[in-house]
Amino acid sequence: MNVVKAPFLLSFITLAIYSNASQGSEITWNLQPAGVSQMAHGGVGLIQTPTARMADAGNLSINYTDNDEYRFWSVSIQLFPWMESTVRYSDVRTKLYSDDPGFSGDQTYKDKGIDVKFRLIEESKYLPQIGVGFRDFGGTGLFESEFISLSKKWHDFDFHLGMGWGYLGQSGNVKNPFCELKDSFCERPEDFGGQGGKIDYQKFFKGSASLFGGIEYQTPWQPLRLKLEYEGNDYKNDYAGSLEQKSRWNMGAVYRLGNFNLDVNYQRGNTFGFGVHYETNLHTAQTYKIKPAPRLIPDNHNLKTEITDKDSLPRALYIEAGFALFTAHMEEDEFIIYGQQIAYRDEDEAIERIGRVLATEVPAHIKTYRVVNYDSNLPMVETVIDASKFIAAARYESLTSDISSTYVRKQPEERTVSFAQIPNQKGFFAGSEIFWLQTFGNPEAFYMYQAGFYANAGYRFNKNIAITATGKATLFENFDKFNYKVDSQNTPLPRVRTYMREYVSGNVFSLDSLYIQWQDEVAPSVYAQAYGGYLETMFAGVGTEVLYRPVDSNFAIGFDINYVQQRSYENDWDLFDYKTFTGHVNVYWKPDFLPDTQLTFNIGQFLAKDKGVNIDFAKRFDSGIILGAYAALTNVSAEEYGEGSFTKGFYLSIPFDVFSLRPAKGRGRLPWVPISRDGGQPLNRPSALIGTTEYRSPFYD
Amino acid sequence: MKIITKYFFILTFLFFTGFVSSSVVVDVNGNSQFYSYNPRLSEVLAPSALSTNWYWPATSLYQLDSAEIELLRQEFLISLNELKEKYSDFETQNALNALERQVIAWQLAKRIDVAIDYDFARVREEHNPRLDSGVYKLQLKTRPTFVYLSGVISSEMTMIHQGTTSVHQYINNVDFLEADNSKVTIIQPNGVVLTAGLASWNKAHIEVMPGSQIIIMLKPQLFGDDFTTINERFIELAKHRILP
Repeated sequence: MNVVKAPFLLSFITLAIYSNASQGSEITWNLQPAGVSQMAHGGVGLIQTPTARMADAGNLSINYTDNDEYRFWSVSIQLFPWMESTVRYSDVRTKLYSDDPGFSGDQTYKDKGIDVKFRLIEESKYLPQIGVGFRDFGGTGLFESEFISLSKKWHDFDFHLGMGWGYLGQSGNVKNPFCELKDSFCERPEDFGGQGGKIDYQKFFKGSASLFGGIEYQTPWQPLRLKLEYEGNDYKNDYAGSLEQKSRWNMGAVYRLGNFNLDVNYQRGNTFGFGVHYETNLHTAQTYKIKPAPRLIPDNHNLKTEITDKDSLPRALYIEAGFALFTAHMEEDEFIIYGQQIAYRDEDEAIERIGRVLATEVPAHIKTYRVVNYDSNLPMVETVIDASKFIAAARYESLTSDISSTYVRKQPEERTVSFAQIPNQKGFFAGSEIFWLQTFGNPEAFYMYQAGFYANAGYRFNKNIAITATGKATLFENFDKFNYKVDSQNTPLPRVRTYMREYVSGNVFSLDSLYIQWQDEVAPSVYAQAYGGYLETMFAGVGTEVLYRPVDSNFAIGFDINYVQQRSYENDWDLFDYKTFTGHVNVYWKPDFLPDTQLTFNIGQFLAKDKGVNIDFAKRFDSGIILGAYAALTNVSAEEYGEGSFTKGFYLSIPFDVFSLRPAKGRGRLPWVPISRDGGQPLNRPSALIGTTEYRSPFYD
Repeated sequence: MKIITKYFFILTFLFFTGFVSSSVVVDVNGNSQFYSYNPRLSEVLAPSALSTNWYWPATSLYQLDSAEIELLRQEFLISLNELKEKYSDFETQNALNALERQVIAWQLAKRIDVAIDYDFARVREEHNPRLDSGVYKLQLKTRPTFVYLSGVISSEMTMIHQGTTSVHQYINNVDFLEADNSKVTIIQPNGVVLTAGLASWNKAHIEVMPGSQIIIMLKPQLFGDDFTTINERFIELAKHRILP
């Protein structure tokens, strides 16, 4: 299920208008060739065949192509300059989703697929660009192939040649070279491993092979490119049936219109197809920002000896720096402010704005400003600003002014925190947010949704302890179309998550969670929390977590341990009999050799009492957009797990800032979970310390 | 070298008269402006900025009392000599000699990395920094008419700038020595460095800003990066060149 926040959806239009997928902003006055284009299945290529070409790093292409028997919706992303990945939904018009109209009505067959392509060698004078790719490798593999391709450019012509195995090599117009080396490569194994969803290594480069190739021509008219290809598939073994192929030659034309690529093609000598592709770049995606100019520090500034207007400082900090001030303290020649950053994702921009406000509002004799940032009522980071150096740099008093060298981020000092007397840490609080749940690929209808709002209320006893209740109200949905609630696959695992449909299609109003929580920093850089109550939709219990996370460190480590009992889906308060311990050792690592990435390992016992590790890889693009993929590998075998073989998923985390006209913090997360069953499922804990302590070594912002 | 000698005497005079603590001397197109404090860029530009229609992207500010660039030049010549001893074949010797001739003859001074524009300087603080104490040369130019070719060619060339012309057209009839004919470096007068593809597999239409330098580089080796390092150092020195 994918939950999306509403304000984020509404502003999607802003991104569509203002994003620019420019290729090299330094030379934009020179009209560049229209660039590479996507193929029918998604990913850079000709029409049915892939090439060794890569899109610009960070490019995201959302494609819809229509090829008579097949329709493809795909999203292709250039994760690194040398790696491209595509995810795809295929609609086979000639087949039904299932034989049972009671199960899936007249919905046509849908299939998921994922591809990956690597660039091995970059093009140079004598060498072509060489790439290797694996298509549809992680599932039932209707179009499963491997290929090696070569591309060489000559003026406006781009020549491609490749060899494919599997779907791309169906016609077998050459001898498989690997078959010459080893006999096991001559035959391609038929079935997929496990219950689908596994990478079938044993099939790679086996079976019949074909050569394919083509030419792409950039016409003198900049938006138009022409394609001609010779493909290696003979369509005798397609899932849609044995399709008639009059000719192995396909041709097409692509027209670029702003961020869109529109293409038409003529395939197999008898079929017209078309496609619409929308391109954006995750490194450069942003919107114009309306924000107050950073405050200037005038030359003869500030002959103040004391603060006369007590309101001007908090107001200025809020409006100009997005900093919500809790309290302030002046000590001899130091001025300390305590608060929370609520806008301006970039820490350097935020500190510069805060510094400029302080320099003009605070008495002139102050030599040091200290800014203590809080999150969840706990101090996270102390930034110490050298006032005179900051003012000199902010006034550009030198040809080599560097504002970021005038302050230092560190662990909040005990002395600094001891001066804080923060008011209003006790009392009631309430809030609400809209939710949107969506799921693709269901038998009843391909797209199913549920929308409504969460209302939460609570009472905070002091800075560490609070009690919170969240209720869910469903307003719109088509979940009443469900033909079945629990799927009929019999697995030995306890049904910890496969009652999902029961939980979401219950009453209109339901209690989502009700728990009491304690959080504190128990030692320098060590945070701990404990919680108890109805923790999430499906489970109630108690738990605790400890996390060690130094400031600005690439590494954090902790553990969490919980004892939970399954909640009933019949009403809000009862519990089922199933109880378990679940807990993990959590390791978070940002490797130096792959900048802007984070690896997370959760090692321990999951909800179904299975033991293993959940590995999460997240890549952050310059705009703040984060793409992640995770997989849970446990001691549950593929047969025991059921369809999909193991839990895996992808997500896209998009800062609201990318769409909004005003600077903002906060993110929306779009998950895509191909199949989710009972193995490798962690508890949805009410809060994770890695998120609470985000400001200490920012990855998400 | 001449300019530095000229100001050396002024500096020594100032030293003896005790005015050295905080002073800035700026040579603006031949006219010296003295300041006993540290002026902002807009003040330095004020006397001459509105007198002529200056081409701001080609203006440059150099710091003359810094020995950094001269040191860089000496280091470059030393490493060039080492390479000449290492690679004794005729073409490479020819190419390295060409680079040496050009670098020795260049007028170099430390180029300050700051965008100079009188309008921006008056409106935005970040474009109006205060000059540190020292001796400077500010070159204000009207729209340049020439483009300067240097690098692995038999002799440096000055060509007339043409609009809407790709960089290939400038180097069409130039006699390359052992040079990289798949790409060329363009150093724009505002300090930005671009690489333009020349070969059939990476050609793109890249136009050249008036007053740019076009650098033809040494052909990179298959194994080893001696030539790549020399190319980088050559380009680094070319950024600090004082052009007419």
